[in-house]
Amino acid sequence: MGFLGKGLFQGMAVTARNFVGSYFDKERMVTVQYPEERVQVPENSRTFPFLVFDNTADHMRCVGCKICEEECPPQCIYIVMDRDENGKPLQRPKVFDIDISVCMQCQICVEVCPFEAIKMDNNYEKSQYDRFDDLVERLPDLLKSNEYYNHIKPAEASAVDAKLKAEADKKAKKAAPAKAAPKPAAPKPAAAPAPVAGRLVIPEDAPFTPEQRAWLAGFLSSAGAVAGPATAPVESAAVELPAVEEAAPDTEAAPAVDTPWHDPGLAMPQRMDLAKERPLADKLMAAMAQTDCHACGYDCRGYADAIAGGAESDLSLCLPGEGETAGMLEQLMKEAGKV
Amino acid sequence: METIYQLLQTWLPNLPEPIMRLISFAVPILFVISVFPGIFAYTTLIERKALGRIQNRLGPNRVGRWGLLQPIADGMKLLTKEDIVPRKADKFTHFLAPVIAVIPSVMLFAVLPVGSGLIPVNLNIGILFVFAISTGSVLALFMGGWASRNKFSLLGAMRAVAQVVSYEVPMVLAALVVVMATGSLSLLTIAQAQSGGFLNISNWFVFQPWGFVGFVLFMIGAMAESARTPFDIPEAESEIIAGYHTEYSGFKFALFQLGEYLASIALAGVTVTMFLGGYNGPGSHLPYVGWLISMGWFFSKMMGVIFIVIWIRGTWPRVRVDQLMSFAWKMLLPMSIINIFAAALYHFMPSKFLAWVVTAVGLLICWWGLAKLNSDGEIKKRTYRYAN
Repeated sequence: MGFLGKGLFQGMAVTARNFVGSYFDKERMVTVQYPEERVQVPENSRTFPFLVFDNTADHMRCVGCKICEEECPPQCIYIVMDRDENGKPLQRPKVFDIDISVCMQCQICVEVCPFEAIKMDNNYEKSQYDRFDDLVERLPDLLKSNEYYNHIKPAEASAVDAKLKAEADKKAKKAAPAKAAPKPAAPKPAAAPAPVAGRLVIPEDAPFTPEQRAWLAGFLSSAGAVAGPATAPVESAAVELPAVEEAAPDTEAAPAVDTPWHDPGLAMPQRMDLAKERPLADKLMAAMAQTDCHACGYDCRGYADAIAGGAESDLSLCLPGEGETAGMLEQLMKEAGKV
Repeated sequence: METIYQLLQTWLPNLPEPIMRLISFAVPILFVISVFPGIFAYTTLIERKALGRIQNRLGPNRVGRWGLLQPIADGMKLLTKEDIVPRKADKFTHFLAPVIAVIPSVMLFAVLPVGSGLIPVNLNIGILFVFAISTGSVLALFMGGWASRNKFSLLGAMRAVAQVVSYEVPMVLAALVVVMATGSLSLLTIAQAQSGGFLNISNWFVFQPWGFVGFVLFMIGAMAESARTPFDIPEAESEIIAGYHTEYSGFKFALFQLGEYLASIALAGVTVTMFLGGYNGPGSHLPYVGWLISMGWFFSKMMGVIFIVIWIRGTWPRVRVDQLMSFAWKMLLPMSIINIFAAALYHFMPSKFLAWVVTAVGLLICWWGLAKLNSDGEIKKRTYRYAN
């Protein structure tokens, strides 16, 4: 039955229910009284990056390779690499500043870091009294332990830990046979870099263009490395990817074609395969990690040219490439008879 | 005032006559200017708390326990704010408006019987005084709006004038039934007329059909008069920023708020006195403690009315200007005139019970008829000619 003003009284009833209910029903009250109470932030929430160290602050994972500095869209990261008196990189940053007033929390630095050194924090209490200096986070502020990382993001951190452990195991496994048989690939020097690590191979009749095939091979090999524990390298001539050879002709058409291996997503065997018909400098470049990180003091091209030209004799400067690159460089130099 | 004078004569007969007069003047004045602004301060807190609870929030709870010091913090904040006067404003009028806004609101308390025999001034034309003075606040609103030299201020001021003048009419007519019933314009006499009966309750005018209708009409009028939601058209912030006090800050703004709230409280007090039995209630006529109990009844009833006003503010949306006007002139005015006839009919009926039933039914029928006359008919389902 309707009468004039019925809706008004229904509204009054609703607000009266809210008024009385708010004193008895805790579920109704949505207020979180901030300084005393805090909202439980979701695990994947992120604010600003921090640097992870293992055990003690001296064992920071960051090597100061500057990849994140280069990739950072708003350019809020500033890194100076720490070097000894001879100019040799000490594999750690001397200065690492993040201007959190500029940072847009995009997480790209985390994506590009090959060392799992930089991660996103979820601490949102960043208020400061000074809007210039206080909003620049210096190296000591940025360094946080792996335990902290595991505490704020358990799932993500345990995946990262598993990956790092797998890589360490792989390295140890690789180091052991290398000691036992220093030159396993002596009979086939040119084709030696062919071993393709990984379980995923692309069938030859798969409908891909050469570019797609090259990219896919790199993607699959890196995905395989991330996803599971390392498998023993499969020595197989069948996965030499003949199509890729066509993709690397000796044309000077475009820079991208000129150095098709210049892609950090590709695995070492693919890169070496792409460069195998090239002169020594190109092969050396293909052995680099392709990140143009400047850790060595050059970009990838420059470092390769410097080694080939004899200006640089230290073959262990490529930090992102780690032992893999150093070993390959040594092998290439030996093959070229320059050592 | 007379009560205090008589008390002084009984207790301290040696006091000189002028000092006795002075004290009997000073005590009610001090009472009014200390108690009612305090009620104003805590009404703002109660309002914010209640609105918060209505919206399932906590309301202010940081300053003091349960936010009890919040009014003091608000006051300090408003007092220390910069006082801004627009460059092209009419400076003198701009300054005068908030002062004038407070004066009539405070003066209203002069005729309110806050307890049994406790009335600052027992004017024999109390109701007339209330209406005459409360309309004076519209002058302040218009002065403020005009002097600010701001379109929104002026619009708000004009709306305020239109609204207050319109709602004054049904409000006065609604109050008229009480005057008819008691034959007096004095608020004290009106309050006394509602004493007696069962527990000092059953004689309240609100329990008569015409009294109830008068109470509703008077409440609506009082809310419109003090520009409370849903009649806060003069300061509709979604349309005209803050209306007439757009250009006021700091202490002057606080004075406007004070005036508005005091008017609201005073009109709640007048409503209580005229329809809800005033200070009458169980125990209000006991010897020795009666004055205290009656004061308790008056203030608790007044706070109850204020709470209803807050509750309404937390619930109902603001009416449009045209709805505001048509509601006043097409609905409230005829209803209040009919109510006067109903009260007269009630008075001349032979039996009280018969009178009660007849007037109740008659008023209900009139309410229903007016609603039908004013309705736009059933809202039809809208059809779109070109949509399909």
